[in-house]
Amino acid sequence: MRRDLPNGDLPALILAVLGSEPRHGYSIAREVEQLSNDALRMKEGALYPALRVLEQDGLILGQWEPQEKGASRKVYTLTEAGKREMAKRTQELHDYVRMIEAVLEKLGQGDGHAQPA
Amino acid sequence: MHSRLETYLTEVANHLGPLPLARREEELMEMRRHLEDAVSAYQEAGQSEEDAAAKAIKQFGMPEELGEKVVWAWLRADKRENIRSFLGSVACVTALLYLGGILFGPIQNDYIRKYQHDVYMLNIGMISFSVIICALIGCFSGFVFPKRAIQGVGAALIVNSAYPIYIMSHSYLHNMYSNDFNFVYSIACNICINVFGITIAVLSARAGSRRRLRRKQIAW
Repeated sequence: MRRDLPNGDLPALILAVLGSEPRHGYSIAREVEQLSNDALRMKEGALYPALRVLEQDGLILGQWEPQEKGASRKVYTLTEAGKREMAKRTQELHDYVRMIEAVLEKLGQGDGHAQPA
Repeated sequence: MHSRLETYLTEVANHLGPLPLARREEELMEMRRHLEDAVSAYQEAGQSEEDAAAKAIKQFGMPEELGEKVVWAWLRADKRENIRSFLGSVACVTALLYLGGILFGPIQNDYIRKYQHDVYMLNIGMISFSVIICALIGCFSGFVFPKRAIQGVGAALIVNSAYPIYIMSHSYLHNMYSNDFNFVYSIACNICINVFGITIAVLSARAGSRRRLRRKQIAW
């Protein structure tokens, strides 16, 4: 199943992806795809406004760096504030997933088999 | 670079209206790199250059939508930067005024004592002192907080210049002026000097901020 990534979740995913290592825009997009096993789809251009907002909030730091192959890229690194924000947002996502699971369980759909209406 | 990518980026650029030139160039450069990487990856996967470019562009999104989002993100930062710059310049001017008062107050007092009977020298000296201080403060604030220095410097000096008027009014209410004319004359002189000083400070702030913004533009 493929679905569009909600706009509000993009900053959280970017922070999570940058948590492992510094990356440039294209690499972030590919990593989001890989992490979700190709299930989450986004317009890749939307990545840049989201990166700009995270930069303004001091959560990531972007710097142009020369690459071994090809032209230089703007590489983003998580700041200390970004690491704290990532932990907070990850926790929020976990809580949200748990809440949805609890609701589905109560509806008898916890095993993933939808009941016909 | 593929001509389709170039056309697409030109369309995006058309929707980046309010962005400063340097910022716009950087945004487009980053998008260009992304699209080039995407095209290379699709080509490595066996697609033709034309198909790869079309797919990369489709995956990137509509130019107008993308342009709007980029502009929104920039305006958000610009608003914050404006508030920070305004408050910064108000704080900077206030701090410098008080620091100036502490450092140069004794010199000013000596001067007043020396020329208290020579009104011409006294006025020349006080106006020169006021012009130099206002120019230095304005220029410094403009350079440090370039975006809203003019408004910040103006607001801070207007607020700070109200204090001597308060002191004069207080003295008048306690009958420390020999007659009403002296009081009105003092207030009028003070307002004139302040308006003159504020104008000098604001013009200096403008010069300082322009110099700084030009430097920033070069640094981009």
